[in-house]
Amino acid sequence: MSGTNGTHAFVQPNGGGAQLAPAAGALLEVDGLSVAYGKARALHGVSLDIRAGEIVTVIGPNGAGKTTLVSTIAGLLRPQVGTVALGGERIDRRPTERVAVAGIRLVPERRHIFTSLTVRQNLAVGAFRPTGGGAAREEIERVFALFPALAAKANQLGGQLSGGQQQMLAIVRALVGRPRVLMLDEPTIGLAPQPVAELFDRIVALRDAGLAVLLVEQNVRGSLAIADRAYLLERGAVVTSGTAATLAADERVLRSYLGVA
Amino acid sequence: MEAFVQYLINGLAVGGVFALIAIGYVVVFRVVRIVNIAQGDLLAAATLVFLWLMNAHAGLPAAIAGAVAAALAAALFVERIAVTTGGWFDDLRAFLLTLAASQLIQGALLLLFGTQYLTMPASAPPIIAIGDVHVNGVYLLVIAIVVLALVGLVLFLERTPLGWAMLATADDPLAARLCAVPIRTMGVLAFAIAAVVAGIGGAAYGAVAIGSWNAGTTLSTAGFAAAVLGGMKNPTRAAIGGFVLGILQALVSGYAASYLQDPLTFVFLIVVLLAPALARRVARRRPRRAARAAAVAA
Amino acid sequence: MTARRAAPWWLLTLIPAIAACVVRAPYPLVVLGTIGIDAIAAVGLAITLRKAGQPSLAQTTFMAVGAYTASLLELNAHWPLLPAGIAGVAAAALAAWLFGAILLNLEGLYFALGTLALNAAAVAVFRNAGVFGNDEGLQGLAAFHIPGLSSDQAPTVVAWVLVAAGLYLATRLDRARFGRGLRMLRESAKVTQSVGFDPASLKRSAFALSGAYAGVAGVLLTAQLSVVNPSLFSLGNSIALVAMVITGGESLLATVGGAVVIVLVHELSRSSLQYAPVTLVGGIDLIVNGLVLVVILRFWPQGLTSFARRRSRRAEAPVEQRAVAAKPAALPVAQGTPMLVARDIGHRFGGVYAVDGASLGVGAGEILAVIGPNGAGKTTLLTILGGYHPLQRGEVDLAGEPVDDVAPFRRARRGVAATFQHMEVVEQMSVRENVLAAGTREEAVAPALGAVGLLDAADAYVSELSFGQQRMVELARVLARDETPRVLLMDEPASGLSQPERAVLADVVRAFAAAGTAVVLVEHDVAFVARLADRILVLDHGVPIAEGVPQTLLREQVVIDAYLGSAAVPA
Repeated sequence: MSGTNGTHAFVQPNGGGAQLAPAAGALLEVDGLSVAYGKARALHGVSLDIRAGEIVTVIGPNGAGKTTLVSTIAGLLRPQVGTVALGGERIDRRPTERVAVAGIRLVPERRHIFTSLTVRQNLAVGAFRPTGGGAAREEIERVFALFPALAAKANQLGGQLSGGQQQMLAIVRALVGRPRVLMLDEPTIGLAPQPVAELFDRIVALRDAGLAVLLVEQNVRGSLAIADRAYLLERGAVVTSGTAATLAADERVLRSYLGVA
Repeated sequence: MEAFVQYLINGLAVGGVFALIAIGYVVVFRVVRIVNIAQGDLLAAATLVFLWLMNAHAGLPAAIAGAVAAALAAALFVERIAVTTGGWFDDLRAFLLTLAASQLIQGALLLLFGTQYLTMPASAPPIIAIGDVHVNGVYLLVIAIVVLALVGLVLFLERTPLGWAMLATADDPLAARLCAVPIRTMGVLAFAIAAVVAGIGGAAYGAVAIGSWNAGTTLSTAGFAAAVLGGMKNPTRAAIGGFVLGILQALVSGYAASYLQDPLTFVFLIVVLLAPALARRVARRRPRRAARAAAVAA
Repeated sequence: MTARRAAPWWLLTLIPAIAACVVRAPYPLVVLGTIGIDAIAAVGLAITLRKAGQPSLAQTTFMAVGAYTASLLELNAHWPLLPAGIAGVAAAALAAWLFGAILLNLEGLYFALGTLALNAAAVAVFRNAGVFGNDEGLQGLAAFHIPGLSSDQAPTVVAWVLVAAGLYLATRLDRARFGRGLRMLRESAKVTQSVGFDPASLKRSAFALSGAYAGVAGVLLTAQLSVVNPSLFSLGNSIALVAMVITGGESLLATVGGAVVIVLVHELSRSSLQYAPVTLVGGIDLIVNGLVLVVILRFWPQGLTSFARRRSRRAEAPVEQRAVAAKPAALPVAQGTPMLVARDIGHRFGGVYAVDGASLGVGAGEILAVIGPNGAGKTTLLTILGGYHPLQRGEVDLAGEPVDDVAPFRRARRGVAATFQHMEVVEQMSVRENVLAAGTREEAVAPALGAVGLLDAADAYVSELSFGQQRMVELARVLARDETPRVLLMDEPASGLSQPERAVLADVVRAFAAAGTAVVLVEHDVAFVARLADRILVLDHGVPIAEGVPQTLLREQVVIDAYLGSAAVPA
């Protein structure tokens, strides 16, 4: 049941709560996740999976639960029902710090870089190991080699960078932690088209290097253009999913955002 | 003139102690978002232990070590009380809990040391001459120690990875967690740093003043007033606030009456807290619409 | 529907007063008297702490003001007890008003620390300024002379009668609009403003009231002891008062219970150490103080109130409209008259413009929806229109009059109603009380609840309702207003609502429009808004990019592009 490029064929019923056939070799598996904020139900039985070397994007209108989804995977929220597994190991009851150590790094909405620390210090924190360890400095040099634009600003305060540079910093800070899965929550918010294009380039490069990237985006066209597979989330449930190409042609996506056909 | 310089030096020394308390507030508040009202009591405990050891002729190094140890024990006690496994309490509850801890520490100190004041064992203090003013060398030493402690803290925070992790926790706890920084441990570390600073400060205070079980409250209030000058965020500004308040108190105490120190602290606190808001309101006053329209038409 | 009257539990406090008339032994009388005096001070503190959310450590300071004022008048001007006492209470209230005006500008924690500093300063002054008698204080103060009662009985009886009176007064105020305003203040300053209360004025009044109670307690103290000295008003005692309020929990009567508990605990520890040295007693006293607070705060945060049964009726029926429905009274304004006009609104957060040059206009009876992708600045714009953000750039007119710098509560009084994105109903009040807090008449509550389908749940606590139902409470609050609002601002009202709840919401909004209200809605649910709005304004990156009627606007390319984003083609 596998196609080319590491894509999968799925059972695709209409409506939410789709039971997906477990994909072979999935790195991160989310199964039947339900999360509530106090009274409000934010997620209903959401399942998804992602493999190494692919970009999966989660799209949907605002309030659909996209941020809730990645926050739960990252351990910031506790699900009422459902499981999250990384490489077969269950991680859904772990605190955020342990999830980060296990290999999932989230770059949160609005970046959250440390504005009062320099770029280099930001990265140093990203490479923080609770049990100590001196590999941090080598790690930082390595990423500086890969991102020379950032290296040029190594001693500038995070708060002084432009929006696009801050986004890059936030991503690189996550990368120094050597994650296996990188989750990005709406990285293009507030960015002009040029930085957005560069950002998407970078994400593709990371995917090509073998990273699993989970991209939550409101920029539907842009994310579908680079993604391998996509999930459409509406009111906390998966409405449809499939290859990026399939969803790009699906009028449900347009209706989901604008309510018109 | 001599009196003025004496007051100044005295004020700087006491102000230095305020500065250390203020730094303790700032470090804990930034990382844990708790105002630890027991900060002054940590220092009082350190002072009492320091003076007790000095009077028992244990020697200076042992006395200082004892002071720091006492402060550490007290600080961890406060942390246990005010912080819980689920995370940190909301502001009000945490504040009330540190207040409760303050009472408990004061009670313990009263039980252990009684109501007697302790002072340094009698010995001739080194007199240093500045111009034709004679100054107690101990005061100068205290000032030097405070500056060293401040520099040491700033270096730690800004030059070491652990310091960066703490600053990161203070800057953005959510992002710090996502970087695998154990913010709970950072919180404990913040308390520990505040304790070490209080321990050193306690020894310094013992050298220039007296040790008593109830000194904590006045010290806490003064330290808080100083910390607020730095916006509860900036240790250097907080330290400056401490020195300023110390000098003001010494001057008021010397030229007016010593009991006016507490009222002075209150006034200082109010001014520091309200001045920025007042300034902002004045700056924000926008020209009336008619004036703006006229300006546009002109 | 008549308001349910709660049983007059406060009458219970007359029992100790009656008991004191009968008992003769001095020690129990003194302890009982102390409990009564502390209870008065604690109830006063509870008004500020529990109801308005401001923790004050200066309650003993105002007790001292009352006590010293009365004492000085008695000793130096030879005033009898009653007028001196009244003067003392007035002085304490005045002091509280003055210091409140300064301190209440500070938020929560800083306020508490300000009161702490005030307490320390006051103690220093009372101990050292000669006129107050220094550490020994003042002696020979007047006592109560009541025929038939001994000198130990009189102050105790008076104290408990005053406890009863104080509780009665506090309960009446609590039920009145003032009390509801205080409770709203504790939960949300924004909502308090939106129904027309001035939060600053509320806080000052509450603080002055607490000061008055403290003054009464202080005067009683002088009458009981015949002396007054600074050690009575120490920080430790202030903390004990806080402990009493916290032990009590939510209800004022329970605060009296808190006083009983704390004083008894202290007395017990003191009496068991009767022959111990002073330092031991003092030390144990402090430890008891701290221990009680820790135990309550960590293990028993509800306090004594957890024993009270909470009357509540489960809200069972799903939301449905009833025949008894409220229709907002028609406004005497022609359809389409410009109601809210905003020109060139700009707002920066730090270096980033959240809103840059937005202009809009809504007329009476019109429904304008503001939509746009995430981060477009919609909520910021709405908040500025309501006055909750200071206006950095631009102009806002309400019915032709400029309201640029007018505070939200004043806009509310001029007819601007608002509902907010994050839940702003007061969880600890019942549905009915939440609606009444808007300053409405009792008769308006039932029809308003009927219109949103919550008539059956009127007495349930809001915390027991579902999310959608809590939203409906907010709506009912607007419906129940005395006057139909001229402008209604709604921030994402449909988020989290089920289909039937959305239908009710749409009906309510249409009813307002029919009555002439100008409605501005910010929403993410474009489909919902497309059916409801007369006009739609689209924001993207803080700038308006399109405006028009739903039918045509949503097909415009620029709108679709804004929502779906640009396809960034990878190199």
